[in-house]
Amino acid sequence: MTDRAPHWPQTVGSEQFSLGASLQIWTRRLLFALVGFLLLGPLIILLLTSVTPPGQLPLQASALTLENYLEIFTRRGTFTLLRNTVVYAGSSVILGMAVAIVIAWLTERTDLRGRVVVRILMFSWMAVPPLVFGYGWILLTNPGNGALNALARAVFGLSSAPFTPYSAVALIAISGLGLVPTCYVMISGLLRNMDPSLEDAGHVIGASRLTSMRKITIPLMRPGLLSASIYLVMGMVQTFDLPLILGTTAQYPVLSTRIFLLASPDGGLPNYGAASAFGVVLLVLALGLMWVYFRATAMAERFRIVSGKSFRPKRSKLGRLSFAAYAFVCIYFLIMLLPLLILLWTSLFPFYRVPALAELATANLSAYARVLYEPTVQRALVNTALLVGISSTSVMFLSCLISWFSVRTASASSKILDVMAFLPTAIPPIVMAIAMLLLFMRSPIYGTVWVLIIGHVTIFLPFGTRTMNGALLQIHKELEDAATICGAAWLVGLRRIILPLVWPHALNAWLWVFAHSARDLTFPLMLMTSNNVVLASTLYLTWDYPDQTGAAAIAVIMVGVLMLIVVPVQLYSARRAGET
Amino acid sequence: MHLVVSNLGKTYGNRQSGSRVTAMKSISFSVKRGDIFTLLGPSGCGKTTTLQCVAGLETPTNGSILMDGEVVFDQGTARMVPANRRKLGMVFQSYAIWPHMTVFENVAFPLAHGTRRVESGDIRRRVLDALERVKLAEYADRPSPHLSGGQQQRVALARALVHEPRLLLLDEPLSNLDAKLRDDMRVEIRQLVKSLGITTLFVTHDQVEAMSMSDQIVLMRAGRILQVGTPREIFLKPRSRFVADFMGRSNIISGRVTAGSGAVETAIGLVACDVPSEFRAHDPVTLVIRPQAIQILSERAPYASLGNLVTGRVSSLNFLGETVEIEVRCGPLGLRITADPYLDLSIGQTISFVLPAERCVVVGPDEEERPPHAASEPAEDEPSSARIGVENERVLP
Repeated sequence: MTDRAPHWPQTVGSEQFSLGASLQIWTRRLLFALVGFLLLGPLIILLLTSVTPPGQLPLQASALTLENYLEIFTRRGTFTLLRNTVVYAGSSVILGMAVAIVIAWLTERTDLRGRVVVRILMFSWMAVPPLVFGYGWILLTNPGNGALNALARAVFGLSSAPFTPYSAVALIAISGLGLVPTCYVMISGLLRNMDPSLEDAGHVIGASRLTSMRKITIPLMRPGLLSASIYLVMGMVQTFDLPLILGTTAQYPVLSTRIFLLASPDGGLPNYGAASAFGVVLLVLALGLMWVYFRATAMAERFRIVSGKSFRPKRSKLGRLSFAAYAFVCIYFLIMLLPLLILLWTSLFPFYRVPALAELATANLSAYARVLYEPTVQRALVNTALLVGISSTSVMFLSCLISWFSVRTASASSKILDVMAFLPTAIPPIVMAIAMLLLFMRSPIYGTVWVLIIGHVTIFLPFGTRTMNGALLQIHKELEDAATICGAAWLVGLRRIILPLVWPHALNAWLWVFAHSARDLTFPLMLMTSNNVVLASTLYLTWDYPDQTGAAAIAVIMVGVLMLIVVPVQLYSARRAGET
Repeated sequence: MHLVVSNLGKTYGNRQSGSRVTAMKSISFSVKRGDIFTLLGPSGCGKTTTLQCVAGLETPTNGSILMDGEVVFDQGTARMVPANRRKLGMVFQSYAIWPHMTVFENVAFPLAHGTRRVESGDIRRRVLDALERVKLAEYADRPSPHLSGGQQQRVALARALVHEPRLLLLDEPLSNLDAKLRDDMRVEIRQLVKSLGITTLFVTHDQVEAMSMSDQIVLMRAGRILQVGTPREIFLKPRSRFVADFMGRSNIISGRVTAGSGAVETAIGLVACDVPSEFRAHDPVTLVIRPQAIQILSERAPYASLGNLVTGRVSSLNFLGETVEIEVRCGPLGLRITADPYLDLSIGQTISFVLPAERCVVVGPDEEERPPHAASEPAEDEPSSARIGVENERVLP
């Protein structure tokens, strides 16, 4: 019906015009104030700090200056820094995409057995912190006594170690492999939404499977792959943990690690001015990538082949190739599993020793008892539970409300609210973290876990609102209108009608935020005090101490707890998806 | 009067930018208690917006709405009772049955979560009563997605009535049903609503639905009311060419009022009819004559005493069983007649018929369609057509 334009009652004249609407209006004002504060507060303080003379604090400075920018652009190495950042992000995304394309094609388009397991493993794997992988790989490949090096020396009789984790290549390889699950999730979604009859059409006119893949499937997917790649490059440019633990030793600095070291150096005073100026540079870089991303997704829209009808993809028979396919998938999972296994091994002994059967006799769990009795670890466990639980729940609570306003009401302020909630996507977490540090440095919440929660809510809000916008758009407005006419107040309608209907989407998004909040190291490290340690920062500190066994035990505990939560929820939603 | 809508208007768009769209303007009507009152019109006419304003799902830009003497909306005093406090029941076009609930839970919702809550013992009794009324009592525990379209509609009806609303709103409730079911539901809804004595506001674009279900019809177009009346009044005495056309097939004949009044000069001669006093001599007017209004004369009938006698040649016959549609060529015009199927006619035959004066309706030119004095012979547009002057090919949904 053309005369059913979506519209929302607006106040005409005075505030008491509508009793029901005024609760909504106040809710929206609150959201506006909250999101505005979360977004603009840190950004303004960041910009101010970057133009504050060195050695002075923002808001107390006598004059504004461009000195910080001049310094970072005249300093030697800034160009190398930018080049490293781009090379690191680009190469690791290419590696991750290449592996993920093969696995996604195998699980979505072939008769590979156990593809459901592969899917669940991939989704769950996203929850494993990159930090854990990094430490695992250091134990596996360090030149002194890394397990793989020891193996290579024993088997091939080499005198020097063939592997090292401390090189640009290793950093890129480890980051790329860790990126595969995320790439997989994006690509399998693309493949799922593409009508296989287009490939069949190529088949019918006599093209071989390889030709139809090269000439039809790949070109059709290209825009989608491109926009997914740009999105991931955006993420990798901002990534911080692996470049910190591997790249600094490898003398391979990138923008994010440079910002961290300027803001919290091992010795000397923090140079917040230069760190903020670098932060602004990184922000500009991220905004540029975001612009390219929007251009690419606009192009992907043009190519989008979603007919609305549901199609069951025809699966190619692997036949003789199935052995190669299994080998590929198994090797990948073995590579992913190795770092976890070596951490498990290390946690069983007082000191790291090269894996061997004979050692098993002395294995014990004393490291676990030791770290669990440590007050820092206990505090970290409590803080982590608070951080991930409150962040993910608040993000979803805010996202549901913000998305409701942006989908169901047509007023300009709802649109602005929606855009404001999306903007943090362009702000690299390291930039946001340093901005939060500057903003809250002299407030009582600095040093508490609450400052971390505020940071995580801000950076994960875009993901939450994107997901909930999509979910709410699928729900017919009349379902909600019906509740209103039946006499239900606004919040009753939201709770009884909307929430149950969007529940599966909300649960998945909650889990995503939960896992990403747990694995993040940026905020815990940037804003760390002795009070607000969480598992990720404790892991980093323990490793740095150095206490490899303790760190290994903490890593194992962390992965175990995450899997205990993530896997059952994955199984639950896989079963739910199977039902409908 | 049970529902009084006065001077209601709704404008979309930005006040500052000036890009505004008027969905409806100066809508006024009142509904008697217990009546089924229909808003009828083509899509985009503002009928749904009007209904949504009455429901409280839209806020009008101006005007007022009274229910049972209570002001639920008044722009002047800035008073707006929100939708959930208006004590209404509504059936939506999509039925809006909540898929995550059983039939029982759907129907119980207004009692359990509405503004006037009911004790849980009462809920069960009243829900089952309501389901009984729509013949779905045995489906109470079924998940609502496992229902057919017709059953979903009944659930929607039960849900809209269970809390005894003071007004029932129906938004094109039949448009998603197949033809046979639609005919049954039409009768059933009318009987149910009448037996409960509940005042009903009904929105549709289908004139057959409107005529068969309503006590009163408002015909709307482009955000305005064209005519209000009983189905009989609107069908037999349309006040404009658009209304005549929208309600069913008509013969449309252009002409001019004669000097003596009481007749219109047309291409088929002088047609005596009741010319409303608003028209003066020589005004261009349109004669509307329903195909059913024309009486064919048998050969032996006495000719002399009858006025408006016309003779023409049968140019086509369309035998439909219940009726026969005849197209007759009379000089430059073609006329359509719906007649008794037992008449024995053949193509090329000359017949005589009467246009009874009281059945010829004189209307002025439609305001928006053409400027005054621009009215022309419809025949000039398509001289080769056999059906000259018959502009009634409305495509029925």
